[in-house]
Amino acid sequence: MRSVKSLFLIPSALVFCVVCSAQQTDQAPVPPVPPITPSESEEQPDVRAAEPEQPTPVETKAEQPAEQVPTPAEPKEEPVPQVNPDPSQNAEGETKNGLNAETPTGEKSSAEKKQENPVKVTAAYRGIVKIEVAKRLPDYKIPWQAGQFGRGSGTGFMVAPGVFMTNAHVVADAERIYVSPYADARKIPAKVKYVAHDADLALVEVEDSSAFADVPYLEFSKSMPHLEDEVRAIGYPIGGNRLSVTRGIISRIDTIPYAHPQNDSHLIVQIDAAINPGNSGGPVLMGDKVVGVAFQGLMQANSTGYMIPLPVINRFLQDVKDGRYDRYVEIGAEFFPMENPAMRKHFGLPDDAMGALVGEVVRGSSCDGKLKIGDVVLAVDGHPVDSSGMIELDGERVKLEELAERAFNGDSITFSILRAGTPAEVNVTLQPLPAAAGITGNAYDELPRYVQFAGMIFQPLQRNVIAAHDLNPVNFIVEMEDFLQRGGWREKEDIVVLTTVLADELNARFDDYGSRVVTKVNGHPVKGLSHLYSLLYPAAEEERPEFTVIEFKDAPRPFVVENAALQAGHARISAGYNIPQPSRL
Amino acid sequence: MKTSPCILSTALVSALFFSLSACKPTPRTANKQPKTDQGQTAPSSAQSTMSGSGAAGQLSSVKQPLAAQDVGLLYVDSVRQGFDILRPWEKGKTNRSHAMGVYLGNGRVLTADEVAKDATYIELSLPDETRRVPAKTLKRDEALGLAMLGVQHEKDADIFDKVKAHELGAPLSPGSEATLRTLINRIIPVQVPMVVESVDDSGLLPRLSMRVRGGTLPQGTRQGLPVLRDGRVAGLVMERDSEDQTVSVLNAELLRRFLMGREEETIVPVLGIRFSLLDDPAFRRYLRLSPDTGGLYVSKVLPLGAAEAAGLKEGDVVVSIAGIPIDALGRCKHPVYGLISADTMLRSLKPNGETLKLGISRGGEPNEVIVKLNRDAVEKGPVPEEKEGIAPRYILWGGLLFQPFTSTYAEALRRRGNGLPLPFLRLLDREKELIKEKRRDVVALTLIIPTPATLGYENLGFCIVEKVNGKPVRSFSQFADLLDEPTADGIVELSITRAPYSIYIDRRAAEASNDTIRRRAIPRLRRLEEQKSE
Repeated sequence: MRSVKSLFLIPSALVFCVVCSAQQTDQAPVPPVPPITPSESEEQPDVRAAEPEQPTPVETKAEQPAEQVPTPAEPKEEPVPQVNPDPSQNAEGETKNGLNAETPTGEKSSAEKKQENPVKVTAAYRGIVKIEVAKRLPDYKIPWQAGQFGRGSGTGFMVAPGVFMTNAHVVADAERIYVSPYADARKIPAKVKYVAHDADLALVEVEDSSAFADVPYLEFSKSMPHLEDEVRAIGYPIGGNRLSVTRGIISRIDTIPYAHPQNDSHLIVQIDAAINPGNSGGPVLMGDKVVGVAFQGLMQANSTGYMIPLPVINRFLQDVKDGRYDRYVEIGAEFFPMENPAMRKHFGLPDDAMGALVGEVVRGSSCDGKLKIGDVVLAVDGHPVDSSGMIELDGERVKLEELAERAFNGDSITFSILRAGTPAEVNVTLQPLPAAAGITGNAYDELPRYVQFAGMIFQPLQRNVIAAHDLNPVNFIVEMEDFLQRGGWREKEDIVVLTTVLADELNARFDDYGSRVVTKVNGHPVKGLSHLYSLLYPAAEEERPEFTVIEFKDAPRPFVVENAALQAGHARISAGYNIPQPSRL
Repeated sequence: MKTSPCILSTALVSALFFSLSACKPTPRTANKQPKTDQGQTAPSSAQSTMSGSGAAGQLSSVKQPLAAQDVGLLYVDSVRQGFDILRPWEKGKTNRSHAMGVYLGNGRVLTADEVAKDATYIELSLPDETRRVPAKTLKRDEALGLAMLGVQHEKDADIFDKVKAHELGAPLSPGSEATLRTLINRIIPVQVPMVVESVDDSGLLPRLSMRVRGGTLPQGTRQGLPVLRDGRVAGLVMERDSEDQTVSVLNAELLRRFLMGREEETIVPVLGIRFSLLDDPAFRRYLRLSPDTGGLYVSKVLPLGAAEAAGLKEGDVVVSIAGIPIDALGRCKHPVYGLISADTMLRSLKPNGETLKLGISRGGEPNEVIVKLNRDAVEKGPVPEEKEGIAPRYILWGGLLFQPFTSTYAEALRRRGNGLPLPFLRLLDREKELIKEKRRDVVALTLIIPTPATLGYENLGFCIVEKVNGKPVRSFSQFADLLDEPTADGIVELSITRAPYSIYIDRRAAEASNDTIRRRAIPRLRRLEEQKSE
């Protein structure tokens, strides 16, 4: 859920961002909510991973037919993956490994049985794999450079033939992915089939699924676990190469920010089973059913691990059924509690603690033109809304935005409102906010965009850029709000910022003007990075006037360069600073 | 204090000092100085004995009232307490300040503004401490950093009877020689030869950086001490730099302007322009400036300011000030100070009320504007500066704190946290619109104290109040009237600049909360007019 309010919290949320990028490069756990980072091979030399192997090209958002996507939530359309009960399979696996802790078992789910023999390796564990990823973390500070190469590993589990569920942060920015089956020395090349960065989930598909032909799937549970239910987290965390099982109970069910991609909050389940780097993407089992995907921890606390629970997983699997991941939808309105008696009296509401006020409507969002500031929302889809904006859903009191958490692009919800005292029904078709994701969340799986001109580096204002240059988001808060909430994204592609000035004689007297928003080039308002490029590098060289004048917001003066000096200058700059291309758009 | 006698060599003098310090209620001089100063004082005390057996003579006659007041100096001690604009109903920390004052005759003592600003109690004393009298501020100029003091009670005016009055002399220039007049340990008059080493134009106004000729600064050199030439005051010490062994001195020409200026009004103008240097050759060619002329590029012209009134526009290049050309590095030749930054020149060449001719280049064409010097840019704009030493206005109503939104408030808020809240940033982008609306004050909702009346609104601080019951807010006092206007249903609607954009307060609940707040925490709920802190 990314409510309007959370957009306001961009600056504080960005504090997380630094944490996350640090997490990705070194393993040191940083508070408050770091993701379980794939364990880095650099720090823990992995002999097998060091073998020379051909990197596998990664296709991130592969447009593939959806037949193979498992749909545990709706068994009608797709048979739910079953645990393979064949004990012989297990026996074989054990012999290979010689793991004496393992005992061949069929499925068993009663808590009593578990108490008797708590750590039983079921056949299903064979579907839990180690995912080794070679990454290239793009360099948003020096965007034309290759970035940092690194390796990491996480856990995945098979949910359809050759298809493994894992965390998005395990496979983010992957250059090469190998899947190592349980107790198997083989490394099977894989690629990302679907990735939902806003829910930190991904499906990875192996190129050749024959190695898993006889491996059983893990089955998803049909219902959410309850507090104190006992669960096991299974995966390949640091501290050894083989499969690890930890056990704990459900400690809390809540909605907190997801450390990947940092701008979204969704439902989580907190467990006290140890979750360590490398556990990411691994299943959390209750009995023999998957109840969640381990994904992040809280490092300044003890025994506080988080898993992505079934509603989020189900939504992801449902969303990609059409072969495309559409992201979360947004209501695009902010609801203000109606607790003040004077406010209630003004709107003619009885003293029944029901009804929430529409406080803000995001321009261009699902609710734009539908809900108005000052409307009183009495019910949503028939669920009465209380005066703090909560509804009752499946027996739990949740924020009314939770309805959007469970909805899909194109779904509609109906608001029962009071507008100027008159009751009305408003039908809202939900859709994602296209621009919001790029600017407030981290971008993954793409190369940083930039334009170089006269030694000045222009980049779009987005979270990665802000973090890389350590910009103070407060300086851009007005532009961000205009862009995100006031419909700026409909006219502009990006907010373009001058991030770096590479010293050259072209800009020698303009070197302390960095980190400003570009407003105009030769009098034309800049609508985005591509537009900036077309203004700075016109198709026909003769279109250039004598001077190029670039204006910045709140700058003491415009930047002016004589176009006659440009060609030599650009040759000098691209050679001196080793910039292969003037832009990446 | 006990260590200071060792500076002087004779046992006789030491004994004398002990007896003196014993009768002092509070030691004021030596304890204030950093320890390193004590070694550095040695040469100057040598100087003092050198400057005549007079010093020794005075010492021997210490039982008589000291002749030290012949130097025309008084000690100024004050207790200061400013308002906390973020908590406008109360004052902040108290501070003690100490300075010297120069007696100028007619009961007037010239000193540094630092002792007078926000002062709750000021005391003047004779160097030998035979008299201490309460004092008051006659006049001060915050921007200049000067204050004029007099006795609080007419009956104490005879304190000046034995104090020699100084006259104001001619200003100093770089290279000028003068003497610093001070007292060592409150009793030994010293004249230290000084020279003007350079002009410091980094502050608002030009200051002379002066150094002791062949020595270090005497002990107890502090602000308010005079620099004399031909027996007249040529400058006033504003600051000392112990590391550099220099003092920063305000020149006589500015002292004179202060004496001639009107009460409670600074003479330092604010033109309301922001500049950028013209050291970029490409930018100069773009502006079609000839290579041999300099100037300053006008980045911004503040609304309602003197520059705007004179017709100066963004993009203009100011090439000369009162006929004096500005060079490419933005400096020009001041008649007194020599080459100083044009920015400092604009503030110091002439005082408020006079006019200044600026030569400009607009689109490559030479032109001229006449600027009538004033402070409108910071006083008349929609978000003005708050006057110093004035109690901030506020209304605390039902737990909601309303204040005029001023640049002083914004600055205080900025210093406290990380930038300004979004509704305030948006307001600053709307300056022109606000001017068109002819708003005298912008009223901000700055703080919300949880009360029954503010239930549910606790997080809505830091925004602007646009309307009360649908009526636009024009000024702070009019806002107070709007708040008091009765409504049919007893509910007051405030239109604010953040979600949910309208809040509703029950008047009776607000008044009940007022009673509670007044009784339990804040006795005064409104201050509508600016009041002096005294």
